[in-house]
This record gives sequence, structure tokens and C-alpha cells, in this order.
Amino acid sequence: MTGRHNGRRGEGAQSVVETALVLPFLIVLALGFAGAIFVLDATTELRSATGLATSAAFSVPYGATSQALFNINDTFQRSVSGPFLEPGSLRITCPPSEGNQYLYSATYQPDTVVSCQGTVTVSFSNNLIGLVWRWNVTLQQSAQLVAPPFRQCAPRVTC
Amino acid sequence: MRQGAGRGDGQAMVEFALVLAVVLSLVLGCTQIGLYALTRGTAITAAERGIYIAAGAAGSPTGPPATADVYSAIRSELQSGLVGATPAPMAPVDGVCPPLSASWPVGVVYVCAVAHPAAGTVEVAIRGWVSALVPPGFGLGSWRTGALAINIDDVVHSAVFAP
Repeated sequence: MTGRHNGRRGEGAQSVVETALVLPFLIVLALGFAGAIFVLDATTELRSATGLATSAAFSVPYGATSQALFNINDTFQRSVSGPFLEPGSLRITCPPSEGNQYLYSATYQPDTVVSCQGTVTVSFSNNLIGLVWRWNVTLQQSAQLVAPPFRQCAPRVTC
Repeated sequence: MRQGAGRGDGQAMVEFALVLAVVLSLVLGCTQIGLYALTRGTAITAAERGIYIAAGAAGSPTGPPATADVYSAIRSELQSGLVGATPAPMAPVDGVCPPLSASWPVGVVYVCAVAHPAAGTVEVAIRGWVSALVPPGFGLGSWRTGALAINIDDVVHSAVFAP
């Protein structure tokens, strides 16, 4: 009797130990999956906002570069939103080193490309996913749009 | 003897029920997150398309399109991609797309388009609550029982012409 009783208690203990071993793996898998999905979601959001912001380059007459850059940044900041994005990490740049003659050259050049890069950081530090995703993920997306063939010019700009 | 065997069976059932609840929650939670991301992705893409339509028409003689025009352009995309919700148009209130409210019904996602002439911008918002399989527990921004928030807001500057 005592031996059988001990055996049953042993089985019970074994199942508890097995559960305790397997459960953390399941939870880590689920949280890892959730983190990956939200990173993908942020990528979609960033791609969309970067495209919209880049199109804002054409919302002002050619030559009004500072206004165009303001509109690009404003559109980007107002269009990016997501559950796990770090608020201070939203950045968009359209550097002269990537072409961008439309924005920076003194004369109008049709068919050139406006190229901008949007960046956000995804952080899970304030929620359960952060138990698995312990690092911040910085995402970058770029958008290129061809300048339209006809543009009005800002005052005092040669087209 | 029989009593002991019965107790063993009972214990196994209790353990199974406990593990099943945890595993089921995890599976449903993962499924929910996947569906939520799919729904948000659909809303993001639809809002982007809607804002291009609205911004493109902003400089035309007829002015920016009303919510109904933007809604009809993106309705089929939303209908096929929203999981746990159906789309509906929502008119701006006092020239502003209403912010997401807890009083809105679950399962309806609203589309709103508005122009802000003073700021020179056009806005398309897709907001609402989609039905949830499980109460969210992964730190999602705003949520209520049985629902997850969709809150997409795109703003672009409408074209400005030189004097």
C-alpha cells in the first residue's frame, strides 16, 4: 500500500514538474510571436507614413524647400501611430546625399527622385512582451517618388 | 483501492483542465494578435489610399471630397480585410473627425475625411472597435472588454500654389 501510494504521489509530482518545465516555453513562444507580429505591424505603419510624408514634398511650389521639409516632417509625425512606438523616436530625413535634386538644387529638374527615410523605434519595455523582447527594435523604411513633370515655382526661383 | 484510483483520475482531470485553460488562452491570444495586426494593416492601407484620394481632390475646383466619397472608394477594401468589424462612414463634427470613444459600438469601424483649410491639410481617420476573442493582456494601448481599438489617423498637406 505504502509503495503504491508513494508511486502515485511520484506521478503527480512528475506531472507538476513537466508542466512547470513546458509552460515557460509556451509562454516565451507566445510572447515572442506577439512581439514579432507587432514589429511587422509597426513596419506596415512606418512604410505607409514614410510614403505619405514623401509625397508632401510636392505639396508646395518648387523651390520652397524649407516649407517642403516642414510638410514632410509634419505629415510623418502626424501619420505614424502604433501601440509600442517610442514617441521621441519618430524621424524622417531626406538627405541631399541621396539625390533629392528636386528639394535641394537651384533649378527645377523634372523626373528626379525625392527619397526620404523614416525611422521609428519599437519598445516593449512597459509590457509583458518585454520579458522576451528585451531589446528595442529600430525600423527604417524608405520611399522614393518621382517629381512631377510640371510644377509651379516659388517666387524668385528659376524653373 | 477504487477510491484511490478515482482520486488519481480526478487529479489528472483537474491538471488537464488547468493546463488546457492556459494553453487555450495562449493559442487564442496569439490568434487574436495575428487577426488584430491583419485588421490594422488593412486599415492603414485603406487610410493611405483614402488620403491620396482626398489630397488629390483638395486642389480641384470642387474641393476635397466628402467622407462619403472617400468611404465609397475604400469600402470594399475594408470589408474584405477587417476581421471582427464592419466599416461605416462617419461625418466630421464641427470640422473635426471625432476621437475614438468608448461609447461607440463594438464591431463597427468608422471612416471620416475632413479638410482643414486654415492648416492646409487633409485628414482621413479610420477609428472604431473590433471584436476580440480574448481580453488583451499584452499591453495594447487602449482596450475595453471584448474589443480592441483601431485608431488610424493620416494627415497630408494639400497642394499650395504660388501666387
